[in-house]
Amino acid sequence: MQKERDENDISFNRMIFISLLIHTVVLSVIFFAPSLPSPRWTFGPVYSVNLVSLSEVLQERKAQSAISREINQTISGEYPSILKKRLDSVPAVPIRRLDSQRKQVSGVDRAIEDIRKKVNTEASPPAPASQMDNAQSNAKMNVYYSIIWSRIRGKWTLPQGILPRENIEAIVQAKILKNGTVADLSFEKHSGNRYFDESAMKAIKKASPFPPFPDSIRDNNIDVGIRFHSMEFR
Amino acid sequence: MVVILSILCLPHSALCKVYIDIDSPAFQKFPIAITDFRKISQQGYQGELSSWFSDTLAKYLEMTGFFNIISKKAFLEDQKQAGLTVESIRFADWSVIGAEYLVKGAFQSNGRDLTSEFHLFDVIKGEVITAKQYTGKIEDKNEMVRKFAGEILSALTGDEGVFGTKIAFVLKKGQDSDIYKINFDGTDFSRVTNFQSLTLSPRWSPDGKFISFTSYRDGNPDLYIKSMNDARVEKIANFDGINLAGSWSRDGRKLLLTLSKDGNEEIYAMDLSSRNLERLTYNFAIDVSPTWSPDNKRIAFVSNRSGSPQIFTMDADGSNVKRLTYDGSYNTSPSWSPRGNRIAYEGLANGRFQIFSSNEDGSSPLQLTFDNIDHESPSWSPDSRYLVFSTRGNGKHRICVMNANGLNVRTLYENVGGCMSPSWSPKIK
Repeated sequence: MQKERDENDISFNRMIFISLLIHTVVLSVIFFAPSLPSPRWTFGPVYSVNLVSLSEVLQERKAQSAISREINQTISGEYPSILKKRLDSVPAVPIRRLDSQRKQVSGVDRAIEDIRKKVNTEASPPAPASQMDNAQSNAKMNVYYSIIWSRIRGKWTLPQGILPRENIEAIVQAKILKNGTVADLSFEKHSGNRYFDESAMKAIKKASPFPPFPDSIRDNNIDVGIRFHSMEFR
Repeated sequence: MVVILSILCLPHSALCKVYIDIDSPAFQKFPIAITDFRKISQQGYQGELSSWFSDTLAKYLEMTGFFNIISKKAFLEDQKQAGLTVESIRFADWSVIGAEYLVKGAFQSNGRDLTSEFHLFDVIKGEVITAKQYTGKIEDKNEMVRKFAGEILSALTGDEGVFGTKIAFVLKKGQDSDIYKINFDGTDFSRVTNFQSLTLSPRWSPDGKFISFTSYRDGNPDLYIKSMNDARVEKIANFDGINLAGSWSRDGRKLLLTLSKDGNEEIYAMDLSSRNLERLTYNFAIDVSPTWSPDNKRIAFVSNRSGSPQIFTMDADGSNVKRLTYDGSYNTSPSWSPRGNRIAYEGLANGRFQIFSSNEDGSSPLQLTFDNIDHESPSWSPDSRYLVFSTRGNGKHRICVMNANGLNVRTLYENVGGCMSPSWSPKIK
């Protein structure tokens, strides 16, 4: 009887020991295991969301887009304001102004200008983006092209009522000499509408001669394609 | 307005080809200068003709909406010195004041005889575009100016315009109404019918020699055709119920009409020589106001089959019906432009009838009028550049003309009693 009780005690103690061992092992596994790959039971990544009313969003957009706000904070000096000006007020030969801008034309400024161009295409004729090394002369040429753009557009006359419904396009090839005179004018592409072509050619003739090239431009002449289209005319 | 400068070459290349995009003209009207005409000799007729010629030509050109007439006060040229030839004109004097085109002329009169010459110059190129001489009587002087205005339009826009066209419309007098006509320039207002009853909806034949209309002269709203050259009138449809005139086919042989003889209003085509009828619509709803497309392959009409009056199109045999208008609860009075690409109609917008136009498939509907009065019954000019319509509001009724884009509205006729349903004539030879 006594022997039987002793056997029971031993078996009970062994069970407690095994139980402790298992618990220790399990707990230590749980404790040290975070580095092990294991399925995670979560509800997915957590985002914090601010609830705002639609009108606030619209107002904010209307006032200024985030990108243009950022740009306006970063930009200082007179360089960007020049290109932002209405072209009608750009002086005929803006060489002096350009000299004062030269120091500020850095890579960053140009990059900003590129972004600004994308944002502000509605408001002003932007300079073309480029990766040119001769940044200053390139910037000057861009201003020069803007002047050409503004002058021709300001002379283009065409009543909407005489055009066909579909969009048409004419490209005039012009060679502009260093002194601003237009040496060659020819159609690179006809629009198919005689009156449209005529008005395009007339606009260039009325707008010329253009101002002489900026000083730093060494080319004796430049070839320009002037593309007229009726797309946004309607 | 977007400007894109695209550079199509490597940066180091010497000859950089740059493209400059120009996508909207600064001006939509041709700047034109018209000098007073030179008097070569004037005997008999005492009126002042030098400035009459220039002012009248300016008036006609202004009506088109395509010209900006430069004020004579801006002229730099010494007009006593300058002649009519290219050599004697200093074109720089004209380009500097903004003129692209210049008109000069001369006249001589002897008794009732009048000879006039007109020269149109291209100021930018410094050359003559066209020149004409007209000989006639003093009474023809308006016609001379009208003809040359047509020459100018033809040279600069490819179409001589609508100076010789007329507009027929309904003039109300008490309970009765009659049909009248007026020239595009507002002259020659005259009566067409004198039925002393309710007379409605005039429509020109394609040659401009006849007008079809509906009149209650004999009690029932019957359909008539009247010759414009003499007093001949013929009743061509007197079915029970309404007999309402629609548009003529391109060859003048068929007439679209609305008849209610079979119960409700349905659209028919009548062969004018045999008087045979072809029924085109079979619907429990009301189908009215048919108008042919310029190629006569389609017909636009008004139907309330979808609940409210809307514009539909169908093939000339009545098949292939498509709904054209979806905006607004009330769209009627379709008019298909003679050049085929737009359909004008009147539609209810904010409680007022306004004129709209859309593509012939119903796309790009465009509201053309916006005043807070009712605008009704649009009808295209034969060159599709203008629309005539009637207005009522503020105690006035008017017949007005505007450019197809809604600009340049001009009143042709105005009264308090009522004028409506204008119809533009074809070009009358």
